[in-house]
Amino acid sequence: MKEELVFSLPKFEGSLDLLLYLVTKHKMDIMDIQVSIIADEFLDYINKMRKLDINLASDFMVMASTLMEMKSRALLPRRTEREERELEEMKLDLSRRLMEYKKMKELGKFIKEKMEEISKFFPVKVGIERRVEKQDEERNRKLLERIREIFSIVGRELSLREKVYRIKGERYSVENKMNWIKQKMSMEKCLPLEELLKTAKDKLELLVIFLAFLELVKIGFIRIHERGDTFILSLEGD
Amino acid sequence: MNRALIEAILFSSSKPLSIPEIARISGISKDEVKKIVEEMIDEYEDEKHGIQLRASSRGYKFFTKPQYSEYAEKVAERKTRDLTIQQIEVLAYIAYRGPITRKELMELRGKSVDGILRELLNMGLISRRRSSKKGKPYEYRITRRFEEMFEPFKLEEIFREVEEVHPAFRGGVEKEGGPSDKTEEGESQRDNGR
Repeated sequence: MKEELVFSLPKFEGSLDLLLYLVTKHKMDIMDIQVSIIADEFLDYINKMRKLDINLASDFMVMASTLMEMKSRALLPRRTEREERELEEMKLDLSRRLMEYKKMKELGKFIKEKMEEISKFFPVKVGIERRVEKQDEERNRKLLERIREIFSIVGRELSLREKVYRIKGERYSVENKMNWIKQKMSMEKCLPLEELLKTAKDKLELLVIFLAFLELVKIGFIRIHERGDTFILSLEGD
Repeated sequence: MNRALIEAILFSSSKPLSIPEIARISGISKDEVKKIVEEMIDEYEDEKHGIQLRASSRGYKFFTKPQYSEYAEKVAERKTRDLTIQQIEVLAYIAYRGPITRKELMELRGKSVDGILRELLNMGLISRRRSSKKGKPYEYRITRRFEEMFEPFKLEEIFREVEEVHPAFRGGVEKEGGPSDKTEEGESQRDNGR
């Protein structure tokens, strides 16, 4: 066994993945795992993975030591009632975790298949909505102009404000701003783009807010409507 | 004619409509709406129609029949999301068992779920809220957007199907609460602002 050449191993996502693989391989009942067999094989696999230079996550080690502990406890010749109970509890705990893990896996697989099935259904759409979504070049040009205008208005206001308050450098992150916009949107339902941008204290913040806004549009969180000469943001799906 | 009226309402809405919604808009009683909608479902099943009326978690809506998807996809836009199997697993589990804490999810997968949770939050498919549990951990739940992804299917039905098909779901581990009440709670925070 020691010098056995290993060319490929199934890829294990984590310790539970490997454990489930072994239990299934031996056709064991998850609720009645034979720890002595599984513990040895688990170690075997870990060693093989090491030989293949697979980076082992710490949870493999934790699981290996749990299994070894259970195995050695089971080997004790005379166990007190308490020790017996503890061992049973450990086993039951492991079985439960594995069962739940298996459920998650099966659920995931099933849902993935369902999603493929779902992609075959197209919601019937009425023309009105489609017309709004279709954008011709003329509209795109106008849109860009409008955004530029909004930016310069907000920008002008900002440069005035900066003169008055002199703000010390603050750090902004797109991710934080995204969360902030999400929160704001959940309260306001719909919001003109300017309102969002006007909250900026300086130009850098203005840019970060704008990027966060674009990102939210991209991932489909926000929908933009044109109303008069402004843009109204609303939550997608509302 | 009530039937025609309901058909017109269903066709002009971009989102699925529930029985009470249709009743409110049309002024027809809920019982009558339900009866008509069910008749319409049967009627559109007929092979002379290329579309069908279907019930999803949010309500009733017309969809193209799957056998014509090859043609429908040439003209229609349906936003599909490419999710990794790990993302799907976590999502599905949150939908099935949620609301659930990060710690519980971590124990379930045997490793960190932080990255996946962040991605799903950013996609707007899950939301989080402080729970009243000790230490006030965040509890994660699916959003309405996630339910929309499954239209025209109902999540409860999908879960019922899994439970029937897979032996692991029958007995074994105790289960707190059915999946059906989960989808009710599964609305995101943003829905509370309505």
